[in-house]
Amino acid sequence: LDKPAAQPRRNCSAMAAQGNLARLHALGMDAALGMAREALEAGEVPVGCVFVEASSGRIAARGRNRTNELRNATRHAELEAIDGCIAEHGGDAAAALAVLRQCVLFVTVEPCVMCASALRQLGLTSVVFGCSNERFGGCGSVLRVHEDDGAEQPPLECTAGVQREAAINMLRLFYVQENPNAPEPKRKE
Amino acid sequence: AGRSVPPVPPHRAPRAVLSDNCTSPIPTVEAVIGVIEDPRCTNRIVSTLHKKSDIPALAHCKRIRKSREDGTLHVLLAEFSAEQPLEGVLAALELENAGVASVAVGRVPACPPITRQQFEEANGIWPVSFHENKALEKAIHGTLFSLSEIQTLESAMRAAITLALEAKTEGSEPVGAVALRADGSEVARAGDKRARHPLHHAAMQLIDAVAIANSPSEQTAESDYLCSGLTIVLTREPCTMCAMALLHSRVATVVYGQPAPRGALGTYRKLHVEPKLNHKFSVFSHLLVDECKELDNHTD
Ligand SMILES: [Zn+2]
Ligand SMILES: [Zn+2]
Repeated sequence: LDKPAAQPRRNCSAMAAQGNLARLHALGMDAALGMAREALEAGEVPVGCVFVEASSGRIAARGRNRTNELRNATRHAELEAIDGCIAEHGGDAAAALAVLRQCVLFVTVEPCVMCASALRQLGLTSVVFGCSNERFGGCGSVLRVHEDDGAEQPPLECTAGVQREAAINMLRLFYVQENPNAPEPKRKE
Repeated sequence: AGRSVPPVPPHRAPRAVLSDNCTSPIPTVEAVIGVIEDPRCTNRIVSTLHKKSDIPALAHCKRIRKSREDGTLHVLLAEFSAEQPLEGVLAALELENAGVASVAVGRVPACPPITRQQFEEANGIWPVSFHENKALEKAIHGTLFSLSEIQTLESAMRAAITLALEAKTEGSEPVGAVALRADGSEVARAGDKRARHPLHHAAMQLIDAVAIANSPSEQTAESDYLCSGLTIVLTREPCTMCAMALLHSRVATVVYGQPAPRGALGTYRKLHVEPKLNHKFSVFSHLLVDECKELDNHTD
């Protein structure tokens, strides 16, 4: 963010920036929730994500959980989106990463330890998530990989709680259809 | 004479990578300790204490210690708290005039010992009870694996080293990985491919290869998780991403050769024993470590 010198101008641009940020958050998280719904409909744990270009608001990549379909417990939304973007660039990982590094990642659930480490190793620096991931979260819930991975890469800046209820509701729908007798999922901070 | 088992040369045994609470000295905590005036009162003091005050936090500590210096008996009365004056302790425990001569603050082991070594250490401080974990003791002493099991792991590691060399010639990191079933048979193998994709580390590639090898028909209800029961052999300690991928896949054991500065299974962190994670697995290091180290030294 630039820092204009004049006081009144700063207020105006700060307000405008705030408005833009709110719009970006709404757009990004709505799209991520759409991907989570797609996962839910496919019988997957409903976690979805999108990478949104901060300057233009363009969605550069989308992903959703595919662990059941691929019988591979590591096929989380974030890795699916990254791989999808690389495939779109004809397998050119460097070109895809150049795009992804200009993006904010919106994901419905806090990235797990694996994904947080992957994001950092790729030099991605900005993630917005909905609800926290008490079992596997790598951005503070279980480990603090976003700021502490022994890595040279810059830390991953996290914004938590954007449309948190919607993300939790999506998970609740999944667990209810899995087991109608299941207790309500925990909603710890 | 019974069948003789060939001994395992110590340098060939993989080293167990244990949680810090297994390897660190046993911590101690302050407690209120009384000196018993007349040994004949001991039973009565102990039974009064049992009725009156359990100390759940110090349940691993025995109540009575015999001093090594002069043979006097000491009794563990309570946890020490700065708010609770020592003078009131005996009255609170209904032990006035019961034969406790003096009360003082001393140190006792703060938690139960996990290993035999900690048990011996703890006993030097205050007698404690101990339930030995036989497999853990074998892991510590390098006697968990038989020679034939080590031979199986070594031949898997040699295959992983070959894959690592191939990866290197392709411009990737020199890392290879092999997945074995509990009976030692191979499920899949993979080398590092990060020259093409920065996240295609050997362990990630191996998990993919296991998914391809495991056709859906081979899956059973209880092996819902891809790598349940598998042993993963890696030339180098995995990073945080790979270690967590192995945890997500529910591996049983990881054996690696060379530790890595950012390794997540012993060096930078110990993901496999992280208390907040719901799946724990065994980790061993230094299998064919010299050969694995060589992989990095060949950088041209
Ligand atoms: Zn993840
Ligand atoms: Zn890795």
